[in-house]
Amino acid sequence: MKLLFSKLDNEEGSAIVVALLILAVLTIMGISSTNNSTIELNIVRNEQIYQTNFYQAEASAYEAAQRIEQETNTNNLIVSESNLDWMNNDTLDYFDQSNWLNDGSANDNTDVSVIDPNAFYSAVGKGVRMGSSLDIGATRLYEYAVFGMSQWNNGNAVVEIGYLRRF
Amino acid sequence: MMNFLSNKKFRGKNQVYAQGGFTLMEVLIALGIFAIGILGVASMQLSSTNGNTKSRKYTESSEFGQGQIETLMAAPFASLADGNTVTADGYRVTWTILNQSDTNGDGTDDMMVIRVNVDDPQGVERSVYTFSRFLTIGP
Repeated sequence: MKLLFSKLDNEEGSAIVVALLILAVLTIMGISSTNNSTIELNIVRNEQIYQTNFYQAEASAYEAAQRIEQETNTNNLIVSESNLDWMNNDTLDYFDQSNWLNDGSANDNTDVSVIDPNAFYSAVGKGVRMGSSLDIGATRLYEYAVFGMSQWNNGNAVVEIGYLRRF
Repeated sequence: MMNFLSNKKFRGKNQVYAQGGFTLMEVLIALGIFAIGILGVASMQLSSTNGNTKSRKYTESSEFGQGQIETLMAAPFASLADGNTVTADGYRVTWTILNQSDTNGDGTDDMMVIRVNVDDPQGVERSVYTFSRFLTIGP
């Protein structure tokens, strides 16, 4: 018993133990700062992807508004008579990205934006604006919700703007 | 008081068992291992600092790019042209008109796609944004 205690009380070799303990603490600090820097870079990358998608979605939405503005055949701007793929009625929820169809089939409800192949636009006709059809024979104010979406680099941004056109 | 300290029961262990310090070999080996380990930790810190610097450059260039986009969005359509500017921090912001077209065929260009690139002070490209301007629509 006395031998055992004398072995436990022996402090030879403690220098290496102290050195390794300090090293362990420094390693933990090093790993956490590396982690921190990795997270920081991820934040920046995600931010850039989001902003890129946001600007593309915004540009797509403006493009759809411009197409509405420039459409000379006003029948195309009335949902029930429209030949335009991207002119739809109000039943679709465009904030759900699975509702954006653009595969070249007859079901297409969007159009590709000029800004990027990953950016699309679509519009929803809301009909005649309340109160604007009271005067028979006059032009009417039509109300649209115009959507732009961009999915560059696995990101996703949808922009909705309101648009009115009188015809 | 003296009586209390000289009582063996209350003395610290060191006084009971003498601690002879470290041997030279022990210290050398411990220091050697510590030195090798600290090299790894130091390089970890270095890469972390580099990563943070990089992310700061990305963030700053991203903000400069967005600022330039907002400026170009507010400018009159007819005044838009390629250009570049260097910020006070040395970031070079360059904007280029990629695609200018006349979508309704009335003889006046009414749409353009503009790309904004930002290079950091070392000349490395850190962010690229594209957006569109329309003659009749938009901000």
